[in-house]
Parts: sequence; C-alpha cells; structure tokens
Amino acid sequence: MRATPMTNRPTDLPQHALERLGGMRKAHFFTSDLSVNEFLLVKQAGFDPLGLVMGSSIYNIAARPPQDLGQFEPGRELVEITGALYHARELAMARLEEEADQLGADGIIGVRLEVNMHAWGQNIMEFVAIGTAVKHAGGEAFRNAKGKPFQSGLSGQDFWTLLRSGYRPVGFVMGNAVYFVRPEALYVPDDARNGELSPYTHCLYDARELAMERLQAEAEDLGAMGIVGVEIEEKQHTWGVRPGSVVARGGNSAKLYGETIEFFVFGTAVVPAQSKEPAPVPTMVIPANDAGEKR
Amino acid sequence: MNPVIQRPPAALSDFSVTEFLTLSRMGFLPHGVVVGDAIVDAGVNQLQGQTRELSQLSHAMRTARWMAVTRMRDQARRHAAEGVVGVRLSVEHHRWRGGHQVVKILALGTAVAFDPSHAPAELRGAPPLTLADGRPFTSALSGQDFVTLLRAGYRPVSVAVGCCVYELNAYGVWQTGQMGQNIEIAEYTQALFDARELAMERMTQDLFSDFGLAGAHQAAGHPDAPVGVVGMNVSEQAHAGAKNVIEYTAIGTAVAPTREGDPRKAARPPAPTIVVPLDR
Repeated sequence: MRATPMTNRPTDLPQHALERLGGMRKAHFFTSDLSVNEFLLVKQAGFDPLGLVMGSSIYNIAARPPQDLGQFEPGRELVEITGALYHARELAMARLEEEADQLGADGIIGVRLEVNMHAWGQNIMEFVAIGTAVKHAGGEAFRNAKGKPFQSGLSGQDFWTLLRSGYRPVGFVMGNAVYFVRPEALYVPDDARNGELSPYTHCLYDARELAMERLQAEAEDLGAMGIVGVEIEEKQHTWGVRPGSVVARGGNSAKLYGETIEFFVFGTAVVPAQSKEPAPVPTMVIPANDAGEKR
Repeated sequence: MNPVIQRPPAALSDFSVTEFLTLSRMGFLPHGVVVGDAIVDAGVNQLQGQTRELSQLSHAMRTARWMAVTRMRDQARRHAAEGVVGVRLSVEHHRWRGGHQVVKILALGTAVAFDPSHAPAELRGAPPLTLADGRPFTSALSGQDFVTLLRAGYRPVSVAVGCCVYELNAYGVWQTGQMGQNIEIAEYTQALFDARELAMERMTQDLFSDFGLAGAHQAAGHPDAPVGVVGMNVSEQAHAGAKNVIEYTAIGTAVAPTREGDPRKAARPPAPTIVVPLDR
C-alpha cells in the first residue's frame, strides 16, 4: 500500500487498473455500462466504445461551524469544506480521465458521479466517477481544448441527439458551495403568523448562486457555448451533527446547532459542431406499452 | 440443429406481455423458466482490522456463481433451448454453525428457442444461436434488448460476472492522525479502487476462460469469441452485515457478431427516430 496520497499522474492508478486497461487496449475487447439501445446509438453516431472507466477518491471531512460569525450574519460559506468536497470530486474525475487516456479514448460518455457514505466512517465520503470511454471510428479529433478526452454526463440517447443536432460535448462541469446556517436563522419569530424566514432564504439563495457561478466559470474555461442537462442537488451531509440528533432539514438539531448544507450542480458543457445530416424531426407516437411495465 | 423442437407442453416464462410478443414475432418461443443454484462454504473468515482482500470469500462467490449459471444452462439444454434470456442472479449470505460463512447464489431466467414455423418467412433459415460447443447462450438482457441486438448484428453469448470482497481497516483514520483534517485518505482510495478494478478484471478473465481461452488477445478465430460486454453494472454493498467489509460485483452480457448469413441482422442498421410519446 502506498503511503503517499495518489496524484494525478497515470502511473498512480492502481496496479489492477493498469492491467485491466492494458488488456482491453491490446485485444480490442470492450466493456460498457451502456444499455443495448445506447450502445447502438453510440455506434450510429460514429463512436466505438473502448471500455468502462472509473475514478474514485475517499476523503475525510472535518466540518466545524465558523466561530467568528458577526452578530447579524445569518450564515456563511464554509470555504474550506467547499474546497475539500470539490477537490475530492476533482480527484475522482481526474482519475477517470487518466483511465480513458490510457485507453487512447477521444471522450467519456454517460459519466456519473456518485457519493457513498460508509458505515465505517462517519466523516468519510467516497466519490466515484464512472463512464464509458469512446473513440471516433473515423478518426476525427474530439478531444477538448485542453487536449484531454471530452466528458459527457448525458445518456447515449441524448449524446446521439446532441451530435445530430449540431453540437458536441466538451466537458462534465460542476460547481458546489457548502453553507453553514446559524440556528438563530431558523427561529420562527411568531408561530401564529405566516412569514418568510428571510435570513434562511438568504443563506440558501446565496449558496445556490455560488454553486451556479462556479459551474458557469468552469464551462467558460472550456470555451463552451452553453451547458445542457444541468442538475442541482441539495445535500444535507450528516457530518457536523451531534449523534442522536434529528438530521432532517429544519429539524430540532438544526435549531440548536445550525445546519450545514451543500449545493452541488453539474451539467455537460457543449460547443457547436458541424453536423453532416440535417437535425431529425420528431415523430409523435402513442406507446401501447403498459405504463407500469418495467422492461 | 434439431429440426423438431421439444418445447415443454406448458412452457413457463417470466416475460412481460410486450417481451413475449417481441420475441414471438421473431420466432422465439419460451421453453420454460430455468433455475440453477449453489451453496458454497466460504470457511471461517476472522476479520483482522486490516485493509486486504478476503480471497476466500471472493473465491466462494465466484465458484457459487459459476455453478449456479452452469446448472441453469444445463437445465435449458435439457429443455432443448438455444439460450436463456433475462437472467437474474441473487445472492444470500448466511453464517452457519461454527461461524462458517455460506454463500448461496440463485440464477434464474427464461429459456428460449427458435421455432421456424412461428417465424416470419424471411427468417426461417436463420442459424441457431446456441454456442459452437452446443451449450445454450445466457443473457441478462430483456427480450426487447435481445431482439434489438440481433437486428443490429450482435448476439449475446454469456452473462459475465466478476466479484471482489475487501476488508477495510476501520481505524485507519485514527491511526494516521488525519481525523481533524480535510484530506484524502489514500489507503482507502487505493483499496476500494483496486477492489473495483479486480471485480471488473475477473469478469473479463472468467468470461474468456469459460470458452477455454487465456484472454481477449487469444480470442481471434474462436467461433464464439465475445467482442465486448454491454449493460454492465458494478454494484457495491456492505457484505453480510459487516460494516467494514465491502463486496463489489461486476455483471454484464457479453456479445459476439451474429453468424455469417444470419437473416436476423437487418440489411441496414435500424435508423433511430426521435419520437414524442403521447402517453402522458
């Protein structure tokens, strides 16, 4: 076991990762978590799947409420924690990129970024990025402005539609903000009246905007014209909460100790590209499938 | 291929209506639900508070899966089937007398075979989908996906599974004094990264050794050599209730190109269209 932290160099990928990727590259044998429909659409779009790639990072999070909040300050961003959670995701994404690079890929599609909290460590979070590395069958250049494989968080279906409509993905972009809300901001001044908790609104609003701003900055950095498939996740992390207390937002524990909330936004940055075929026209259909049918 | 298909008189299937209709339009009829299971003793595994693979458990799960799938396949063969679609694998862990850990695996799917008298005229002469050594194929895909795959010129050959069980040193953070810091825990990242990669690597290894091949690089010329694995999923779960033991399973369906002159392969690949569903 290596004693030093993993870095962004390909040589730092685990031994079994290098073995697995080397084997796939040599034998032109692919693995992929694409569904059959996605697999066929990706082929149709002119790409060959090369293999399932992944990256991960396990991070210790030490969250403390800020000690120096001003008397009328409702809350504040925990800049250090924002940075830590972002860095952990960045490490996972960088390793995903390294794996794709090892396969000689042009891009990674269907990227998912998952967070696991394990029972064995209350303040430990695992970030895992998974996707399918692809290469253009016709040898066209698809790498992004940084010379790295592009990343796309879209499904195979959306990927095909995007290419046919004259755009191509350049990167999986993200932004986050961790915010501490002081307990006083959660007090209802008078239970009998309807009224806005404006300090609370302010905190959540500010946190969301911070995350969105960082997402936008990342896309601009890649020279993108826009971001599609943006999702906003609100995460109430359990760290920083006293054992035995209620974790729910606005719950009793929050009223005593304040709460720590993370907003995480992600999406796929796109640029215009030349499409050889005209954009497809949608057809209307009435599916006869049972709505409750799963497969 | 045997021209007379010995379909069991009332063949069971766990198909949905759409699935049954999709398959029967292509000439595939169900030959019964087939099941295989295996219970394997993984011995006594004392947790040592170290970060390491629990090889005995990984191995027991690998053996049990292989046995369950093989038995399911044998049953499909006795039902004169060409293959099994919609295969599902379920796992149970038990702790028996003396602290022995026992792995129980159940494999279940629907056996299908091609009946030329049910097939459209242009598909009547289609070659069998049975593997070259006479074994039925296995596939974790739904009936719809199976048909789509055939139209696109690929056929399923085998369900591919890989597994790895890992123990983590749950005190790692305290020992290194990283408790109060925002920092990556390299020991854990490495261990779980490696465990996932091992599960995926074993999936490929076992897939090829099932065909008597040392690896993908030897596959050229083999009649059933898979070209890839689709619909893969790497799942993670806490193993048998132990908090710091993690089990990774990679599962997918290996595919190969359809045989020469198979009329099921569409002359032109199906052209995707964008549709607006009006059902809601």
